Amino acid sequence: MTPWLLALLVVVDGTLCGFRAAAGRNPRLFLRAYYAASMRRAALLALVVAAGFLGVTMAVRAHDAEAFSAIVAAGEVMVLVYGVYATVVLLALGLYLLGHFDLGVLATVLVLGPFTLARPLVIVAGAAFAAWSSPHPAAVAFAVAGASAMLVFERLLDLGRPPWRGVLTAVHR
Amino acid sequence: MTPDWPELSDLLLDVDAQTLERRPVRRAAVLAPLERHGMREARRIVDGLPGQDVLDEAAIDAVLLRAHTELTRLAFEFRNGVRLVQLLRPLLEVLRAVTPERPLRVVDIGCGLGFVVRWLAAYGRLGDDVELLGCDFNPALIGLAERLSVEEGLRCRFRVANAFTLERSAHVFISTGVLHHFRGDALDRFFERQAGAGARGVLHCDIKASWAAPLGAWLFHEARMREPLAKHDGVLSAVRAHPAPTLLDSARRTGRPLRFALFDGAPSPLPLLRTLNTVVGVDAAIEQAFLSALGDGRQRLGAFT
Repeated sequence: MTPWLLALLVVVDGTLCGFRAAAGRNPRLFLRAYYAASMRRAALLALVVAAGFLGVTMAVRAHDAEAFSAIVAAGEVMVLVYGVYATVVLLALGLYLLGHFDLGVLATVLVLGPFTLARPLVIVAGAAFAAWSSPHPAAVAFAVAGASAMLVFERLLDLGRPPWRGVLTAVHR
Repeated sequence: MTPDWPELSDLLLDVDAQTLERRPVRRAAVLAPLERHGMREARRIVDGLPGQDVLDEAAIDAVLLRAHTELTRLAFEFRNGVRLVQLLRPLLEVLRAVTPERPLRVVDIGCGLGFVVRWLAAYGRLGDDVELLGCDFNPALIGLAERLSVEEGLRCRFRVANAFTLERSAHVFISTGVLHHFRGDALDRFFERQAGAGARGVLHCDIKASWAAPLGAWLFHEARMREPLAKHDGVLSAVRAHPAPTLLDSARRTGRPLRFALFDGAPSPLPLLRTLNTVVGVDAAIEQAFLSALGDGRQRLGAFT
């Protein structure tokens, strides 16, 4: 269960990264399709990352039961830390999307802004806590690799042909 | 940072307010005030701009376009359009009843990429008898705003112009994030010129000065912006935000015959919900009607003087 929950969190976080990566790079007003394209692209990349980690975890399970248990124990800690973070963010996002002006501002000011800034710290804290709770080398490697992947994830979205590439040049001909 | 530090975006554009001619920006002229105030981060940003004696105009435009595009995102997130329409709709409703001229002209001063004007055209439901015009001194920003409005089929226009000297005066002046760019005498002159331009209502929305404003601005610009100039000027804007008494004193002293009040200006020990306030100015003849049209929003408006 734990590996699947972690994979779900990776995909949720990756999809939100897709929104953030596209935001502030297109001055148009009607951006639903633009954001949707970026979030779809990011979700796919997150699925690939999650599948890679699931694959490695399953391979470890087949060969080393002790290492697998340690990874799961570390994963449980990460699910707890990242799960709380993701729940608060998604609740705030829901509040924002309700459309009520004051609730929207509160959701932004109290959660959506500060939590974006805190994301790298939460990722590192979750991985450090997991490694400390389950100090098996395989679990530590799993936590460090997972956290590193999510820390560089937003940068990865700049590669290839993201939806924002050339937008400003195109409208500012 | 202190309120007397200049914003980089103000230093990087030099336009003659009368002729609207863009003048070359000398590196030394930009660096001098930065040196004087010890603005190291700003200095780094300017050092990164190409051009020897004179800064490269295209590079300046590119930076300002990126910064304003990022600002558009923040304006979306903080629902600046909704914020303004709460006051603009009642004001136009009142003006419709007392003014025979049509269309009612709403002019956005220092509109940048025209987010608010474009948003009002798309979602404002202000009525077909309302003309929306965005004015700014920056030709690159205005050019892009115009192209975007055409591309997205929006009923609004943009001009490189001094909003106070248009051939046909505005019924309503609006602005977002502009007032803090004017300090001391310049703020007085802003309200004075506005008074001379003959509008019957004005709505100037800007960052609300509070202990939390610079902290909040830093947090959101770190979290949301990529362009170093946008981060720098964004935080500085909050530091430079005028306290309510400064705004109202200047407006009331020099902005007659309009009468002024502040919307969302009430001080709060925990200023999280009302991060912006709006200087509202109306012709005395429509003051009561405007207050009635405002409905519940009236509770958030101070007294007109």
